[in-house]
Amino acid sequence: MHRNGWWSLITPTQDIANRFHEHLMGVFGGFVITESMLSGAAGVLLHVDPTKIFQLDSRTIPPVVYLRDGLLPDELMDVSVNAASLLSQFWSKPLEYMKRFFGSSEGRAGYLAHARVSALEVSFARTKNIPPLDDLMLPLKRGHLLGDGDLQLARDILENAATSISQDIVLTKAGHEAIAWLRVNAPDLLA
Amino acid sequence: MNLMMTVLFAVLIGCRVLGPVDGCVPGATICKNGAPYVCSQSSRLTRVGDKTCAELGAVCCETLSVYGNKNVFACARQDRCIVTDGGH
Repeated sequence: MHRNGWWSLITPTQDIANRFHEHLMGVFGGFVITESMLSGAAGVLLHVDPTKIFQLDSRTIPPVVYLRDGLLPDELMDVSVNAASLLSQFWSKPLEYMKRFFGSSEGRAGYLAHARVSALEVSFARTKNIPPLDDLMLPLKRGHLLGDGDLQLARDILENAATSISQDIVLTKAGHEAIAWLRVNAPDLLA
Repeated sequence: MNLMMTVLFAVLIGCRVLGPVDGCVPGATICKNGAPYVCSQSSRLTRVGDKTCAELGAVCCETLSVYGNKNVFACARQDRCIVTDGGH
């Protein structure tokens, strides 16, 4: 079992994970800032290192994607698909995305659940396994300021999508792009 | 007073951000224009996925949840549909 709770049959190499990440960020228009970049820039400009003060998880605030240092290849791939899905939603309607994401926890829950659907699509393509709903919900329960009603919406979206995904139906653009790239560049990672 | 104003402001902003209520039953799933939607606690519909089911070679219909506890209206293979007329 991978440490984030997702089954994985073959672990990707760091090179494959990096190329996968770069491809998705290129296609979906992400501007990547790594922890070391942020740490270095803030150290020069402000003489403080915010990454030492705040334990920042990898986050996407489109079009910026912040990546924590030291991600394992599986983690980088998961974060990349999640970010690509958020970027896809952002670029389709940027103003509406900003308004709904930051103005409403229900709107935010919808976007975040959609991103987890993309990650599940890639995970399923690699493993043919649908994890328990409680496992799928874990990344949404921390740090997103979602209430019980928002989490229930996310859970309903994930259950609905997981039902389709289990029938080999890929619902999101980010999922399609990620799986297509893997099929060409790393078919051994697909089940 | 400040707290009340903040809550009122947040509610007003929230209503404006999310648009009008759809009047659905929270937790329900439906098919609309060939795509699945789920109903939020505020009775608003949220679409599942980026495309219609037909664009994915599937149909929007009632099917058994992968978790086996209930039926949902979702994109499914034709032979996995319980009802094929698409719900609402």
